[in-house]
Amino acid sequence: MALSPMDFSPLMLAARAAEAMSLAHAMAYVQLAPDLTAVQASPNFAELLQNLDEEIAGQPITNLLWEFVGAEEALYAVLRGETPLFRLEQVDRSQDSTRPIYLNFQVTPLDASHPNQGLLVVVEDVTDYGRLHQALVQDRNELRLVQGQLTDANAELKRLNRLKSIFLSMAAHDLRTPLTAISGYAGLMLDLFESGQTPNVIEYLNIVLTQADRLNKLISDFLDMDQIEDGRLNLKQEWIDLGAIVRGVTAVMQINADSRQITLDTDLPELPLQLWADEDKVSRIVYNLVSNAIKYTPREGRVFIQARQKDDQITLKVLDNGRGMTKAQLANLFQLYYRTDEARKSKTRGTGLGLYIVKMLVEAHQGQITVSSKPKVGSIFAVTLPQQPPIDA
Amino acid sequence: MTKRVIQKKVCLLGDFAVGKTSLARRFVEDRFDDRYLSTIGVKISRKPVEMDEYTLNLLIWDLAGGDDFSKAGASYLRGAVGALIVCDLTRSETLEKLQFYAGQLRDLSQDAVLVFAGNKADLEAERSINEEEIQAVCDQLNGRYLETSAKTGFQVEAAFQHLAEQIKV
Repeated sequence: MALSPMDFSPLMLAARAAEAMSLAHAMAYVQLAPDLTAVQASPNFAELLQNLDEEIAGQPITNLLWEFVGAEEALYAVLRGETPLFRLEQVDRSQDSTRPIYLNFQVTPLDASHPNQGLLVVVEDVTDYGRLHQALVQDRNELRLVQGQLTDANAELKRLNRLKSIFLSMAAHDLRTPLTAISGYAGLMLDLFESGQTPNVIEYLNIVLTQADRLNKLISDFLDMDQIEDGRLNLKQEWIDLGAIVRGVTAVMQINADSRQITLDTDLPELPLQLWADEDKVSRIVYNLVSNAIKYTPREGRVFIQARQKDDQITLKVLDNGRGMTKAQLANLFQLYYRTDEARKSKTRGTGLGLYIVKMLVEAHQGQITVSSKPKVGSIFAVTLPQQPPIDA
Repeated sequence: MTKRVIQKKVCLLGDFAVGKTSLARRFVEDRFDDRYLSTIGVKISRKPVEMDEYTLNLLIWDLAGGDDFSKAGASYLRGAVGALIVCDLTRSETLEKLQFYAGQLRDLSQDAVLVFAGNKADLEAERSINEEEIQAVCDQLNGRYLETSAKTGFQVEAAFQHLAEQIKV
């Protein structure tokens, strides 16, 4: 006999409602005793939870569903009627992370008016909704990552622009200083020659030469940097002798070292250190490292240059007992225009280009540069360059 | 004699895209996937860690980070005895969030064990957080700090092992 609509009790209607909902997405339930052990479960419970292979009845809920480990106190709170439900949403319990299975868990009393009689755990498969939600969150997070990268890039551009302005005013000053000295001493010598007096001419000529060297180095740095920044750095590689380059650079730098009573020593093998490289660029590397070491080493200090061949690599080390650097300073050392706070505050002039150029030139030769340093102890710069030409050279 | 098995819940916390899921995957499955897949809700994995006198079954709750954590995350933390709190060494803003996540867990459990991981240590050239900065934050929050790389596996096992060793059973 068919039931009339008025024959349906609220309990029957609720059961029908649950049945209708489970057609839209899979649902299962498990009934819990007050001690949180399972009493019975819907027939599809084990299937929905996938990895259940145990007898359900009598099992503590934490054995059946590891999602509830640590949640026992929250479940007892529902049993005591202190809270109407305990809910976990979008729990992915799949073992294959490429195919997530999202489940919602809701725990309520079996009888809301007598919560201490037991609990009902309803498990709802919300995978379809979860995947849509995941796709939205994925898009949003990826956008945020890109936004973050753009913000960082913008800040870096602003920093470089600011540094470039500082650099331009510094460069103008740096170029004018040696020019003023050259022009001044040349004029002075002219006056002396005209008046037939030549007592200090050699001293003045040395000053002019030193200032011309300084000017030359500055212009070389600017040209190198221009090439690097424009991606126009072309290497003219050939077999060169690193030992000869080091000897040449130390001979030029000896006058600077002597002027501050700095001992400049080398340790080079007697045989040539053959290297497939651009001679000018390798000279710049050695020159910049040695001149830096002399610049930041106090009077009566020591700068030591060593070169060695091992296997098919050549390592050049420039060691000094200068002021050294902190870890934070080391982290920024090879950045364009970077100068340590101490260097900026000191009388030692610099553009913040030298080490940046060194790193770029070393890397252009497929080499590596490392630095270790300790404040007030000194620094060691180590450049490793491959000796042989690459196979396609 | 078989060792007793103890189950404990721990959480992986941190801002979005810091590599929490990758750390869990490296620890549990010993594999890595370069693709970034946002976590929603929570992904739970299980891994036994052998201790001298017992086996600790770590239930690792990998929670969604960022805004998605703020919406529901706190309820997922209930019952956790510890957490690995992660920042991305290439994104300085993720360092600031360590304190927030540590506070969320400590509000629920004063005794929770905290271990901090600076992940993506393999991306040395892109690093924007230095060791002193992060160590200072971790000292203040009273947790051990380790640099990790889910990609290479560097110190991933050590981070979870340290977490497991500190958990009182």
